[in-house]
Amino acid sequence: MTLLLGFAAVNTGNNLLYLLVSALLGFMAVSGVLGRWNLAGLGVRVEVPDEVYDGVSTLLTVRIENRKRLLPVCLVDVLLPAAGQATFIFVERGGTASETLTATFHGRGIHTLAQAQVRSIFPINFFVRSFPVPVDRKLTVFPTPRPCRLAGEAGRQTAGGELPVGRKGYEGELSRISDYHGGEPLKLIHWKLSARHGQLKVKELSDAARPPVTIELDFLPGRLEERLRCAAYLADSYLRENRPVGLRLGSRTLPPAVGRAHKLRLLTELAVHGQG
Amino acid sequence: MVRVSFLLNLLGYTTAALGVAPLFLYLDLPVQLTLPLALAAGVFCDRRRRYPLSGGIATLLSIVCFLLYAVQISRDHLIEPVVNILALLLAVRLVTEKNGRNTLQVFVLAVFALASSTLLTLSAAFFLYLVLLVAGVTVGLVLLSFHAVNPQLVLSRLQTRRILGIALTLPAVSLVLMLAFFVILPRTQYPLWNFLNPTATATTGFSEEVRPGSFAGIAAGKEVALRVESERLPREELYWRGIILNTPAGSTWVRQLPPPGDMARIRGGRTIPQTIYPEPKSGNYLFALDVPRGVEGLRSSQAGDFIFRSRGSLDRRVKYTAVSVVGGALEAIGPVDRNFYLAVPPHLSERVHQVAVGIAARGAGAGDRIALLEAFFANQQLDYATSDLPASDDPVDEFLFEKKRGYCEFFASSFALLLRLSGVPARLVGGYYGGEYNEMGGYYLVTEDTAHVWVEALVDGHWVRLDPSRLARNAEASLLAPRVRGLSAGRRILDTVDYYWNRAVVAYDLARQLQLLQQTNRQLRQLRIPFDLQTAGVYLLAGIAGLIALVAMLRRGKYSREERILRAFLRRVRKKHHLDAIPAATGLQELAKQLDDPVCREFAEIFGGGVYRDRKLTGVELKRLKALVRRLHKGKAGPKRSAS
Repeated sequence: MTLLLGFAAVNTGNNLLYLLVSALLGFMAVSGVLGRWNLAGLGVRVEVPDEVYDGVSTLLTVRIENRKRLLPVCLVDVLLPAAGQATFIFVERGGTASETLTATFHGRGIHTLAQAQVRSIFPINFFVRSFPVPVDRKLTVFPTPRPCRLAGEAGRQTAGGELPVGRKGYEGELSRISDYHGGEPLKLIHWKLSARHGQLKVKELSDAARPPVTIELDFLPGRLEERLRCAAYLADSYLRENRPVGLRLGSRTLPPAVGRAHKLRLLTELAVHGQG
Repeated sequence: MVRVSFLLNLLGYTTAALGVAPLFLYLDLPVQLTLPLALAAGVFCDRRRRYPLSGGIATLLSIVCFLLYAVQISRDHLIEPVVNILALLLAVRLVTEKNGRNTLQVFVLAVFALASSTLLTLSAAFFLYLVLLVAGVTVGLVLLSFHAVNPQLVLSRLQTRRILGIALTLPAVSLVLMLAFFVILPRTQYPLWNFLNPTATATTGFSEEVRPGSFAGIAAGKEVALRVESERLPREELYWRGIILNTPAGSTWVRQLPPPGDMARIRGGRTIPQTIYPEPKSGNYLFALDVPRGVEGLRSSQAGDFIFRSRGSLDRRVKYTAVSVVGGALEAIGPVDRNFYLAVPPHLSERVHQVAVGIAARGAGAGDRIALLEAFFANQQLDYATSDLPASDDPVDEFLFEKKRGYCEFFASSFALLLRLSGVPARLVGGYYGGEYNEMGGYYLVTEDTAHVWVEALVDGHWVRLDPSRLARNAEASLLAPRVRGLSAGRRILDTVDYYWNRAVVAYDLARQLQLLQQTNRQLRQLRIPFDLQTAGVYLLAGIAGLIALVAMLRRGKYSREERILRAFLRRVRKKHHLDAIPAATGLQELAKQLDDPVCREFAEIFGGGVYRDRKLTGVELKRLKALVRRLHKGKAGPKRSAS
């Protein structure tokens, strides 16, 4: 339109048309600057859940932060490879906003979300401004758990005497009697024996949990990837039963334990196994 | 909550109206009727969200409208069909559904409609339409980008305010940049489509022949004839020379080319440079202060009698510069063709001849005869009038002896004829006399009702200006006074706007602008500003006042109204109770208790009841709080104490 009117202005020498063309040119210049300002001072952060499995959809949170002191951020799309785009309509100055995206990662191991593409049509929908924003978010994609034969058949149940049976607890069966060290609860003091021995004796109870199990990858069936998926499945299922799970990968051994942190450690080991 | 599509609809209606408004008067009647109907129908359809005109029908209708006027287009009839097409296309788009694409089309058509109006009128009102339209379209385009992301988007009031605030910076800055672009955009020296530009019609007032007696009355309007940028001059010097009528043909004076060798030169006098902006008109005579020595800025030709004519037509806005000499003598060079300047029409009355014979007999030289003729005019008790005029076949006789009333053409033509009959070569000069000096713009505004005719007589080899109209009994009241009275204050301001519009925009030319810049630069270097304490003081005070206003505005914007009233309250409390400072941690209730002041207590109750319960103060509460703050101001001061 500007070109057409500019052409008409030059050809007619009509200064009023020049005025109109000048206004349109001014508008284009200002809209360009405003478009740049809109994307300035923008921080993008991607939040990834703890457990991401190979080939399984997961939800990522894209959070943008408007660090500008005066202007809001309008109409910004954040594009993440393998995750699609999140659209933010309006983020006030100094404010943050977040959107959730569904993403699927393929291949176990450590993945890096190096950068996101930020783009905007603001202020006018004639041009799209776009630039990459570093995200530098590393995430570990775990092998997808795949059901396989149970531990009794595939893994090697811990043999008695090889490893201490369970851990000390407060609710299980009596495993032994030991001397009182001062830290034990009074209810564990075995008063009869204490009287008999002349010194305080305490009951040591075994943990109420089920017996620990160590998953040995080499003994699992199938090829490496299948074994890893199977190990992930087993680790997950045992830990769900609150049964301590250990892992032996070749010469490396992770002692059996329970808890979420341990689960993530096991899955991470499985994810990076054999990837140097 | 505000729906973006609602705002877009509003902007669509507004921009359409702004785009069409300047060309509305030039549209055909059916189109003029269609537009408001389409706008009303569009509003109605948008409210009900039902559109009888679907996409296909609308396109078909647009094609029909286009064809209807496209067949009328020809080289001589180009603009009118085009503007009608634009208006009809806009009307169709107003009635259709306002999706993003259609709204964008409304904006584009509105801009084109405004652009096409420049080919019909060059009025200064264009600027107003331009500013409003640019604001509307730019804000609309910003909202359209939101609409593109989600057509159903609803924004909160705060978001809407913020987005509109940013969107409005676009037109604001664009319009500033517009001025810069306007100056530097390249212009072609000879535009190809110049014929498309509007041509103004000729105005009445000045005419290229003098024909006393042709009308029983004349009525000249206050239309602008020319504007002349020059220094201020005495009233008696304000003769604007345009044409010399040297030949009486019957009762009409016309111009013939002066005899060859009829040359003159200007001796002595003071030179007055002028820049002249004539209104577009059909003739090509160039006006300048009597006597112009030269004209520049337009291709022009000069006759021996110091009459300048433009080689091109003056039917568009132009400007030129002239240098005139005031108070000098126009000395004829070489022999003057006396017969040429003594010729009279054959049918003059016996009475007129007798007067001339009498003057010729009593006066020895040209000077004496002029004096005698002036005495005769004075004796005749002539009146300057523009109604009940002589209208017979012999208007000179009727004017001098019967009706004894007439306007400048009667005075000048009778005087010149009698001079010629008494043997003094004479000619008529047509132009303007008078003009109002516009202090704001530094220019003379010469209107068509000041068109004037006077006489030049050859006295001792010099052409001398004589104005017989001054010999009228009522010259001061009827001839002289109205010519400097000019326009009313309101019209004068409008004329100043129009003047600057024409000068800075319509007749803008980069080369001249650069020239002006260089000239200004030169003048500034030579400028010696006398130190004027009073003016400097006024500027200083205005600057300080502006600064205070700016700070107050910024402070006002910084705090909410609750914060403002609280600050005012604490200020007054400090003053009334002579407190050095009120610790920030002190609660209002606590403060009121400490001070034991009922006003403070009431303030604390109302303020606390609102703000501390996280709601805004109502209008009534705010009013009461303001009243309390005022009471604090009026209240008597207590003993000095300190709050802790």
